[in-house]
Amino acid sequence: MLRAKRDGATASLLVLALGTLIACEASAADPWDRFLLSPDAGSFTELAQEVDGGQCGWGKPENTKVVPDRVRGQLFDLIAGGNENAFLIGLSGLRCFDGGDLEDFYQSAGKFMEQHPQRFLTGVTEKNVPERDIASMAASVPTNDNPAGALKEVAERIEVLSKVTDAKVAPAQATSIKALQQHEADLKRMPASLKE
Amino acid sequence: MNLYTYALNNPTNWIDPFGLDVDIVITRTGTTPNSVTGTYTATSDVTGGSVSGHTLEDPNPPNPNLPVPPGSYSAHVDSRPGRADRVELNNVPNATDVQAHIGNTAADVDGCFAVGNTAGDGFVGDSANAMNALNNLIAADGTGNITVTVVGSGNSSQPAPNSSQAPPNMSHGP
Repeated sequence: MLRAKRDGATASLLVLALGTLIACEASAADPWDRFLLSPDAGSFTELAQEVDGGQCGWGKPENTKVVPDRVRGQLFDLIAGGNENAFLIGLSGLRCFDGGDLEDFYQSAGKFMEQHPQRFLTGVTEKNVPERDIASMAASVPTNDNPAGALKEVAERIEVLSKVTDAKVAPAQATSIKALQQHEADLKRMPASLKE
Repeated sequence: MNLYTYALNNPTNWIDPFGLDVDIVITRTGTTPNSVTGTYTATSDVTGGSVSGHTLEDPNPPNPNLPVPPGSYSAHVDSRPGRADRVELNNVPNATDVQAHIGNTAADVDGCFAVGNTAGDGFVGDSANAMNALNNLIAADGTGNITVTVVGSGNSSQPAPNSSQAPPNMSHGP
């Protein structure tokens, strides 16, 4: 009997320890993990307080601390899939991206714009995103060596952006459409022999 | 096949002290307001194979420290999911994630190199095949050692293509 009680107590302690361990593991997951798992309003609010793009700059080591390498691909996928919270987080961390990662962000933002033109224009306007970046987001299409597909996508983007009538976002809208028209002209100028 | 690309076509003055690399030499050939054009040759010291093609860059990327300054850089194949087809340069001054990848126009690159088998004014074409050939060369070489040497200026503030300044990883020959 005494032995059984001891076993029971040991088992209870084990369950308690295991539960504590699991709880600690769950709370150890950082705001990025929680956001990527469930990019809802709650995890967004928490993560938005963490992502301080002001620490970032060209070549700075802080860039991958503010937006870790391991989360970037998933973040860009969420943005390209049309998640507004992810897009806003990406804008907050804009200066943490450079080179190919910056291009990936631009491309994902461009896909977001196709789905939510008004939200795209509102986001870049409210976050005071520089014109150069707005233009690149608008004009960046997936780099898959398909100029004909890119041309079609650019034309579709011009069409959806042209339908936005909110005067508050008119400057960003004009910047975006101008960049797309320039890219469209470049793609049309590309010799057919290079498109094959 | 040009046997001297590893020494910037000047084996009298340059040697490659490391050897057993995939050596990718990018030579910029022209700059317009909208693009920087160039050619590349990649050679494997292990297999003796080589591939060549054209490059395209944005002359005014968001990062003011780019286009990549002339010089020699170690490189690696980006192993992150979705990026396995890119060659990334290491230790570019004040810049990160500078890569060679698929692209057709300057709008496809913001500090990186687009590669292609064909080229026109401000374009590269057949880019996916060019990148595949480059990655196949790297895979066949198998050493994982990649050196990218960039020759020529990407903008007016950088040294001219025929500058006598030695790329950092190259040594003067005897």
